Amino acid sequence: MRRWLRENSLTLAFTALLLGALVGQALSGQAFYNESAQDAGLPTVTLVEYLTSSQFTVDVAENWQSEYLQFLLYILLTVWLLQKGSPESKPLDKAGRESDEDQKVGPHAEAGSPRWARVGGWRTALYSRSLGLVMGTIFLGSWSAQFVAGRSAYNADQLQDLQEPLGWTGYLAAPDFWNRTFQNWQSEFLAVGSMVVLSIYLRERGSPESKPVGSSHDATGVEG
Amino acid sequence: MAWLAGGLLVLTGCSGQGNAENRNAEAAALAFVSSARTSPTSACDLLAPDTRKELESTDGPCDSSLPQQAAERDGTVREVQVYGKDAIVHLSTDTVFLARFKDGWRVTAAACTPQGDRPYDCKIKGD
Repeated sequence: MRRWLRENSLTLAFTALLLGALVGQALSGQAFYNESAQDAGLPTVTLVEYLTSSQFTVDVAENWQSEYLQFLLYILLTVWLLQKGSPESKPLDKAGRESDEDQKVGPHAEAGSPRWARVGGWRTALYSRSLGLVMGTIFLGSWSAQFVAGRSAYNADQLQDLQEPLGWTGYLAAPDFWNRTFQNWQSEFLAVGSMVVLSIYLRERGSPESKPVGSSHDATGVEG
Repeated sequence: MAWLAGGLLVLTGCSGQGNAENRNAEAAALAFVSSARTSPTSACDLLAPDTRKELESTDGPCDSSLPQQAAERDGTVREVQVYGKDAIVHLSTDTVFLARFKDGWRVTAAACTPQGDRPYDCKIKGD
């Protein structure tokens, strides 16, 4: 058990952080919603009502979709694009999908290689792109959830302001949808860009996200 | 993480847009419109607290002021839209805004005239 905890500590820590942050978001979001509702003489919501509300759902979904887009783009762009000196980049001579031998597929698979890496055909082709495909699917799913819940939350605000609600195509063109989308995207791209550049010159001893402390600034695609 | 995203989509579907609430909001709007001029006491009980308070502060007791502000009685429902605890009911003679309180749907604004892209101009509304 202790060994299992140690070998999975990274996942466990981030799962705990995620759940803690979701609880914090739920409680503070409910308080904020009820504060506005009371000021306007409108009905307040219980925690359960808030958790199933479009307001909570859109606030979660708009953040999730941008995280998965960030990872999708990061995973795909690092196949072909390079950054000299960054541990986030592949070595400068390794751009592209690389050889079957480097990627250990088909006849180059090893004893512990996943089965679909070994068998070839469509299974290996699909498995070779599975990370991007799943990230992309979750991105599209959560962006769709943002769209559906965002329209509902926006229309609730419209009604409270005695205004006409928007239909589906109306909300697709609405500043509310794109403002939520772009404000989340910009922070994700900033985060990746910062990491790519800062890790050229700065170090964090022991982290695989950093180069070894003594690596030169020119060393590319090495990790600590 | 894929199951979390799936859960998010389920939550989206649960986001307070059930047909039951459409019917409840419609019933409250119809009850209000049909009684505003003939049985104002009943209609006044269907007003949201702040809306009733605003009406009485400007026009006097609800029982006497409501019939003067309310739209024509006979209206058929053309469309109902519900988003969480907020609803709009378009009738042939009026547009009514409602909110769902603990004791049911209450009218937050009525006798409303559209103003294009601007908010509706409502004779009966809260502050």
